[in-house]
Amino acid sequence: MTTVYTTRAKILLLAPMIAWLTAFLLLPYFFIFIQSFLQSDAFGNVVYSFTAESYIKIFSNKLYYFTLFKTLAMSCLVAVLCVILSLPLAYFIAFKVQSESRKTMLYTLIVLPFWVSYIVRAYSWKIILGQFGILNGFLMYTGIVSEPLSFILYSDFATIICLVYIFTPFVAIPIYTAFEQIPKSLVEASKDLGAGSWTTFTRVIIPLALPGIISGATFALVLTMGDFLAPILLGGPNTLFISNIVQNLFGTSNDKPLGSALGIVVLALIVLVLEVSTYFEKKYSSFKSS
Amino acid sequence: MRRIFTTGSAALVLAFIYIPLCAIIWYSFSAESVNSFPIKAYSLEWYKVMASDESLLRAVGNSLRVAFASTAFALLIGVPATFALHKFDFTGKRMVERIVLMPITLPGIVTGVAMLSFFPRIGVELSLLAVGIGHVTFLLAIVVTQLLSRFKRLDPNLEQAAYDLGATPLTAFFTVIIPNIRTAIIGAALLCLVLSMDEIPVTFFLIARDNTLPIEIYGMMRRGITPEVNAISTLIFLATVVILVISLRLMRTSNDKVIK
Amino acid sequence: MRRNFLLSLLAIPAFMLFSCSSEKKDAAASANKPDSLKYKGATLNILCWEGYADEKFTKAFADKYGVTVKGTYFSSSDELVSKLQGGGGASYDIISPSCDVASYIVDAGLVQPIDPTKIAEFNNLSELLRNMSDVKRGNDVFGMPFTWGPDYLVYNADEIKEEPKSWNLFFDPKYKGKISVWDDISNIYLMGQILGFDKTDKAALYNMNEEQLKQVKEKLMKLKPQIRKFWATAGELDNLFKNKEVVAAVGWPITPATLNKQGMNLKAVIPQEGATGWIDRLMITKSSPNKDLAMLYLDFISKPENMAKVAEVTTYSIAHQGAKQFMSPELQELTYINNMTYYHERLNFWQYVKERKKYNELWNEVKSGVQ
Repeated sequence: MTTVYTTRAKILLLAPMIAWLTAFLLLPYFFIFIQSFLQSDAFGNVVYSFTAESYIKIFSNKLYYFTLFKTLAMSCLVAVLCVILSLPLAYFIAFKVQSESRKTMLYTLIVLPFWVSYIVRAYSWKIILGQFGILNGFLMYTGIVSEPLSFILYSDFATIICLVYIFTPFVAIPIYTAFEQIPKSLVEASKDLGAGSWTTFTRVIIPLALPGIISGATFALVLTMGDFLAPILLGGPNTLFISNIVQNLFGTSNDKPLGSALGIVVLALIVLVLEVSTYFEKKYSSFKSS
Repeated sequence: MRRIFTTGSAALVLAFIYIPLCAIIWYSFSAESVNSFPIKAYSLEWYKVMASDESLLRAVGNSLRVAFASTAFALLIGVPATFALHKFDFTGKRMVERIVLMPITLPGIVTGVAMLSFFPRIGVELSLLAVGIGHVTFLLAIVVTQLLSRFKRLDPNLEQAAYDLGATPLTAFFTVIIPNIRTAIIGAALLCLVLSMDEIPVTFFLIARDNTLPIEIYGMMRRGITPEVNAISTLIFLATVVILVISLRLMRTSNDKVIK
Repeated sequence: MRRNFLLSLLAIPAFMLFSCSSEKKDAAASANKPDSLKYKGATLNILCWEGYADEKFTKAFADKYGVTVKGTYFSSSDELVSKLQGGGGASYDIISPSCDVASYIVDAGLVQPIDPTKIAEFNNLSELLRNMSDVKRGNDVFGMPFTWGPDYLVYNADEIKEEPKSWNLFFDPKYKGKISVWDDISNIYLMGQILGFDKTDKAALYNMNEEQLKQVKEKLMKLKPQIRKFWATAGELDNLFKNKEVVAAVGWPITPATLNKQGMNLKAVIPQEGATGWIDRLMITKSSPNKDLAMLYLDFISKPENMAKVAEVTTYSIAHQGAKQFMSPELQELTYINNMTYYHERLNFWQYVKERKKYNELWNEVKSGVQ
C-alpha cells in the first residue's frame, strides 16, 4: 500500500503522546532515580549531595531487605492461591460448559469484578471479618461458635484473603483464555488413549496452558508487590509490606531519597519478575498465538 | 461424582468472588448502624445519609471531573498516536509501545511517588490537576491497547478507497478511520472512565485537599465505618456493571475480548 | 457535524482542567467591599488534627462571611510536615501543628507571621502558652495558642473495672490482642516514660541515646503481641473501641468524648508514670491564598464562645479561660480549665526530635517485627 503520510503528519500524530509520556512519566521515573542517590535532612528537605547511602541502607538494615523478602514471599503465596482458585473455574467454563451463551455469561461474571472498585472490594472483607462482622455473626447465629472469633480481621491472614479475592479475576482471565486455545481434539485424544480426566488435566491441559498460568500468576505477584492499601485496611500489627514502607517514607517519615531508592529496588525486582515470566511464557508456549 | 467435584469447585470459587459483593448490597439496606448478622430491620436510611453527605458528594463531583477530563485528554492524544503506531514502522516503535504500557505493568505506588516527587518541581502543585495528569498517563495505556487491536482488523481497503477518491490523509483519518472505529473508541472511553473513577495508588500521592471518591471512601474506612459506605459501594457497583455491560457490547461489535 | 464533535472533544478537557483550579481566585477580588461581602464564595482550607474543623464551630464563620470552611485531617505530625513540604502547601490556609514540629515548621519557612493585633482576644489567651518561645522569632509571632491535652490511657470501663494505675496494664497477658496504640513515633516517647528515662530530664524522651533506643525497642517488641491494631486516626480508634476489638489504648480526650455520647463507658487516666502531651497552635501557611480570611478565622475561633465549642467537640483543654462561662461544669472539669497547671505538672509535652529519621526508622522496625 502506498503511504501518503508525510513525515510531518507522522510526527504530528505521535508527538503529543510522546511528549506527554516524556514529561509526565519518564522524567518522573528518571527524577526518583536521581533522587535515590541524594540525601535528606532530618525533616526531609532533599539535599543535593550524591551518595549511595540509601542503597547501602536497604541492603544492610534488616528492616528493608527482610520486608522486601517477606513481601515477595507473600506475593508468591497470593499468586499461587489465585492460580489454585482460578484453575477449577476456568476449567469448568472452558471444558464443561457447552452452550456459547452460557460461556459468555460466565466469562462476563469473571471479568466483572475485575472492574469493580478496588476499595469497595477491600471494604467488603472488613465488614465480613470484623469482631461483629458478618462471618462472626453467621457463626454465632448458627451456633458454630459461642464467642466471636477475634483473630481474623487485622492480620496477615485477612490481608492475604483480601488480596487473593481482589486479584483472582486477573489470574482467571488469562488462564481461561489459555484453556480456550487448547484444541478440544487434543483433550479428546488424551481420553481416547485411556487417560482419565485428572491425568488429562495434569498431563495435557496444564502443560499446554502454562503460559496463561504464568502470566496470570505474574499479574497477581506484581500487583501484590505494589499493594499498600490492603495491609493498612486489613493488616494487623505485624503486617507491613514493602510498599507500606515506601508510602511511609514519602508520606510520614519524609525521607524521599530513601523512599526513592526503595521504589527503584522494588521496580528492579518487578522488572526482573516480568522478564523471567516472559521467558518462561515463551518457553512453554506451544501454540503461537497470532 | 467427578462432575460434581468440577462443578462444585467452580461454583465455590464463583461464590467466593460474589458473596462479598452481595453482602455489601444486602447490608446497604440494613436499618442498623453496625453490620451485624442477621439483619433485623431493613430501610433506605443509609442511602438518605449518603445523599446528604456533602463531602461525599463533592468527592463524586471531583472524581467525575477528573475522569471525564482525563479520558478526553487520553483519547485526544492516544487515538492519533495509536493510529500512527499501527500504520507506520519507525525506529524506537517497540520502545514507545513498552513505555506506554509502563504505568499499568509497573506498580502504581512507584509511579505515584515518582510523580509526587517530580510534579511540584515543574510547577504542578499537588491538586486535582496533578491527579488528572497522572490519570491521563495511565489511561493512555488503556486507549492504545484497546484501539491497537481494533486498528489491526480495520479493512485497509477502506482507507485506500478514500485516497483513491481524492481524500487527503487528514480527511481520510477523520471521515473514514475515526467513524469506523467509533464503537471501539466509545468502549475504550467507558473503560477509561471506570478506571479513572477507581484509581487509588497514583491518586493517593497526588491528591491535596480535594478528595476523589475512592480516596474519600478510604478516608471513611479509616475514620470509622458506617453502613453509609455500603450504600455508596452498592451504587458504585451498579454503575460499574451498567458501564461495563455497555462497553462490552460495544467492544464485541469491534473486538473479540476485553484485553488488558 | 463530525468536525463539531471533535472540536467539542477538544474543548471539554481544557474547560474541565481549568475549572479545577478556578475556585480560589475570588478571594483576592475587590478589596473595598466590607468584610461580610469581600470573601463571599471563597474557601478557607484548614489542615488540622481531627475535630479541629468541626461544623459545630466553623459553620457560624462560614455563614457570616459566605465562605466555605473545609477541613482536611492529618494523622501525625510527620504527615503534616510531609504534606506541607511535598508540594501541597498552597492548598491550605491554616494548619494546627503540635509542639513537636511547630518550631521546625517556622524555621523551614512554611508559615508566615500572624498579626496579634487583629485577634481581639489574643491577650486574653493563656499567658503560659503565649509566652512559649518556640513559635516566636524576634518580634514575629507565628502561632496562636489553641488547645492542649494529654496522650491518655483510654480504657473501656465496662471491661476494666478498676482504674489502671500504670501503663503496665498494656503488658498484662489478660489483655493480649486487646490493646491499641497510635501508629506514630510517640510510642517511643511513651516507652521511654515507662522505662523512667524522663525522671530527671523531661527532654530525655526526645533525645534518647543508642542504648535507650535499644531498650525502648525491646519494650515495644514485648508490647506488640498485645496489640490488636495500630490506630492511625482518632476515628479508627473510636471504631476499634466501638466494635470491642480493643479494651485499652493510647488515645486523646476526643475518643471518650465521642464514644460516651454514643452510650459507651470509656474512661481516661494519666497513669503514675505520667503521660506525654501536646500543645497545638494555629498558624497561617506561607503560600495561603486567603491570608486575610485566615486572620479573620483566628480572630473568630479565639472568641470565648467559640473556644467553648471547640472544647465541647474535643474535650481538649483550650487556650481561653474566659470560655468557661459557656461550658457546663462537667466539661470544665474534663478540660481542667479551672486548674491550668494540672496538665503542666503531669504531662511531658512533645518536643522537637532531632533524630527524627532514626525514631521513624525504629518505629518501622517495630512494625515489621525485625530484631
